[in-house]
Amino acid sequence: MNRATSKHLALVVTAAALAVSVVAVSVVAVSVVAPPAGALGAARGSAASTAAQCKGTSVKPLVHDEAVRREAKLAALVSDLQARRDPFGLNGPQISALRAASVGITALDSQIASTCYPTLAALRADATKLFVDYRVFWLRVPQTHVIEAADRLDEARSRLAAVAGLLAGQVGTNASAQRDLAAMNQALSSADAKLGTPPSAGPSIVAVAGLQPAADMSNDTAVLRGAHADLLAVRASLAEARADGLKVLADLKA
Amino acid sequence: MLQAFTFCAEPGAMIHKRLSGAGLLAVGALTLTAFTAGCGGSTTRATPLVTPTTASSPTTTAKPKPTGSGTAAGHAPASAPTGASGTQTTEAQLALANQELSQAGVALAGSDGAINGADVNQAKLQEGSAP
Repeated sequence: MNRATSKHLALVVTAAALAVSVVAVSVVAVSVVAPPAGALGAARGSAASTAAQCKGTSVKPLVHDEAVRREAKLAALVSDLQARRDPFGLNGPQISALRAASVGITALDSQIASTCYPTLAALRADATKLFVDYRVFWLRVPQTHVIEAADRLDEARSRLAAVAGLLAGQVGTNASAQRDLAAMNQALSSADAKLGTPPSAGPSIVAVAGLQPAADMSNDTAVLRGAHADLLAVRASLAEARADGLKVLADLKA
Repeated sequence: MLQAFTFCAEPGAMIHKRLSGAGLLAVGALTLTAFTAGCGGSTTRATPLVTPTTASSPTTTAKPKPTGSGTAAGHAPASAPTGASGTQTTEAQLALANQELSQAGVALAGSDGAINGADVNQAKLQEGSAP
């Protein structure tokens, strides 16, 4: 073996050693990163098993959306009432009820999200609480608006009563003015019969304020309808009283 | 005040005569003259146009007009508010009533949204049911 041949052989041996090293490192790396074939199969089986055991996972986002919608509505209702005067003392208790409902819905939403329901019926039972136990839209919304409407109507009523008081000192012997002022006072009395006078609200408004969520909403609905009809009547009476007040002003200026 | 109204029933010449006899100062004479003028208008209107609250204001009661115009606002309820002060008060009251009527209209309009929201027939449609 001459010197050139010997040098060539050394290069070949070195290259072969490097190749073996690369292969060895790759094998080690693969063995560290990749799980054994058996273990991988077991994990896949476990996930499939969990998915199979927890029912209704695709429905949960829908339930969550309903919870969020209710929380937003309850917050808006609280904000509406907080901006009002509360002449009948109904706003405070209603705000407390709305806040309690919001807290309950938040807790229920979390519970549903974190629970693995073995059956769809179990999930549905919890989801139904979101609707039946709170009745946010069926009860709390109209109930709060009845209280707010009474509050706003009383503001109009108190202003009209002040006007009637002012005009009483002005009508003198003006027959037209006297007649129109009497009509104004009559309209105000009609409004008072249904709206009540602070701090006592009218009977239908008080009844609405006391309503609670129910599985059977027949009674709640009837009471709410009665109060709504009364509010419309009060609105009409106050509009009439205002029109009569304007007539008195015209009588006095004539 | 009673003395002033006593004078009202007497002829003006007699009043001035009695005033001179009493030796009152010129300012006092002007004051009584003002009362007399106010009483003189008491038969023109039966119902006062000035509310008692305004009439009893300490700023106007028994305070003679510097100009001697013959109108004393403090006597308006018991006499005739035919002077400028009574008219202005009436107009102010009517203006206030008009303003309150406008505000009542705003409050009524503001109640419409709440009344609509109180309609349970509409509200329950939003409730839905469990999926």
